[in-house]
Amino acid sequence: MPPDTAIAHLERARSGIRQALAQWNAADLEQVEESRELLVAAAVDLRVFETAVGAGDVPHTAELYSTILAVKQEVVQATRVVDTCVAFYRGLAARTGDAPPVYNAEGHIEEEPAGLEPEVHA
Amino acid sequence: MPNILASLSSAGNALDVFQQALNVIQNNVDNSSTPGYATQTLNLEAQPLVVTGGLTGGVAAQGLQDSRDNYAEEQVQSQTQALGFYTAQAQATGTVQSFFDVSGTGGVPAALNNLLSAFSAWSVTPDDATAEQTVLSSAQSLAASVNGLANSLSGTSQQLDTQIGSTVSQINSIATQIQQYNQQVLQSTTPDPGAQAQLYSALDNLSQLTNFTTVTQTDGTVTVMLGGGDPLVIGNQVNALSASDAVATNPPATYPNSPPSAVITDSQGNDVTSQITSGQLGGLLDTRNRVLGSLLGNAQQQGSLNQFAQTMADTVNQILESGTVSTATGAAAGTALFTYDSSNPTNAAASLALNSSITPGELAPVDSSGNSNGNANQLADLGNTGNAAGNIDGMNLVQFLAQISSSVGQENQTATTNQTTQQQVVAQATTLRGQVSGVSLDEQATNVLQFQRAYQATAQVLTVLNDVLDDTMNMMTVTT
Repeated sequence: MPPDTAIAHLERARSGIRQALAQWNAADLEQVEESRELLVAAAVDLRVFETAVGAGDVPHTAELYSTILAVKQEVVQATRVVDTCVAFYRGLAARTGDAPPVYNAEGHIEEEPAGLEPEVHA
Repeated sequence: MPNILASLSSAGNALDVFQQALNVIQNNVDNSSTPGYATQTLNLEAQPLVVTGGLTGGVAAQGLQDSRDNYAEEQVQSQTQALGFYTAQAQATGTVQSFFDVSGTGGVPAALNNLLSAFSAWSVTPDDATAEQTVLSSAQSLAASVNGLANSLSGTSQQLDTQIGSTVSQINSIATQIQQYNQQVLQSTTPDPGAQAQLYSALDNLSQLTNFTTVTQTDGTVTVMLGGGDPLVIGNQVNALSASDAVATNPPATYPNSPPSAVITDSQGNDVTSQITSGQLGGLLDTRNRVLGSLLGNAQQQGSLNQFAQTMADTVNQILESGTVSTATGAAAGTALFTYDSSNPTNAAASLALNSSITPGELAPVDSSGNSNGNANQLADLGNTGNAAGNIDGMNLVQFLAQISSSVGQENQTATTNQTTQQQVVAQATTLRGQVSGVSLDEQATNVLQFQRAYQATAQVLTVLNDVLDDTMNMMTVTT
């Protein structure tokens, strides 16, 4: 694969990740799904780029390395935002009694998570 | 007739109840922009109707219910605390970073390079008075540059102390507001929506300043505790904080004359500094005590700038003093080029100076083996890679300076990135708070699961992206 084509995949992935984070709206399922689709498309682009790097199609320059590092930083940023939402809803689920089961080291379901106090409005 | 009267009475009661409901709605509209206010609803309950038993039915008001969700409130407060920390840290480390010249064309790195160049020129013409004078003036410039950096950093410490004091005052002021709320609760029998709005507004403001947890007591008062559990407000008591400077003595100070660290104490004089790990105060304390402490020293460390100043001065002086001013028999021994306060290792950078008594002729280019420019060559080599003389932590003086600049820059970059990310996290947490407020979570269990699954699916894609990027970077042979 020509280096320019491979790098275009990287740039498109980066753009998709940015767009996914920019339009992420935790309160809107439809937008959450759109963000996820953008990220899936970014993952496909990154796989293509990874294959090109592995095949030696792309020169291993310091500049390219720092671009990849910058993309990774954006992924870390997006992960923190999404993790906040996951943690928020995990807490809510625990309160409504719908917390996912907890598995022990043998793969068996442990005791139900300790129930939290029912929702109390001040 | 009694039935008609009962009907009229029931209808009259209903009108009263619906009037109350309208008042509640009007109050919600009026307070739509009030900080901390949560929409309220009037609970209505049908009254029993027993025609033969004289119960007239109708509707009764069963008290107000607000839409605030304590769990969601805590989530937003917790994320806001982190944002306060990163914002303060980014601003403070930005100031510290501004004193370091990362390009190497100015500040201490440039002054060191000039001195090394002067040594190099002197090694070519060791008897040349102009070359000797250039060494002296370059040494003076380096000392002045190191002093200037140390003073700028000390000035930043003082500015941060002022900001820390101001932040502590704001925390105490908010604690007093919460204490007043508690007093009101203790004196009143029914919750006041206005007072509650003020309480939550105060807690939102407090979360920007420090980390804390709250517990609502059975009497309705709110207890606020710092991160480590030290109470800030209990009932109608405020445990006011104060800020001061002190050299830590536990563990015993290795450098008792070091610059003091910022300390936060409660009203009993207990040191609660370590409990403040988030919020604006946490960010200020982190930069003041950890970042600046690593540069200027504190009770447990000399500080990298002092390490540089002392090692550089000792190395240069040792080389010069080991040689002679000329190759003539009985030539005078060399004189130290630099002086510093050797009684206080944490004051080396601020006190570094050109030896006031040295003259150009007292510089010793001749080494102990009699080589006419042996010492001058050794001094010129101090900045060369692989030269063991003057090394600190395996780095020569030039590399060590670059490492100091780099670590300060890294601190600022990390804080700035964290601040940007945390702004988005707070925005999402606030959105989620709005989404769950006023909703019965038991009734919305299906929605909760749907959102949870959607987020987890997105988190999995992000894990894939992260793994692919890691694999790609591992495949690349260039690592910088």
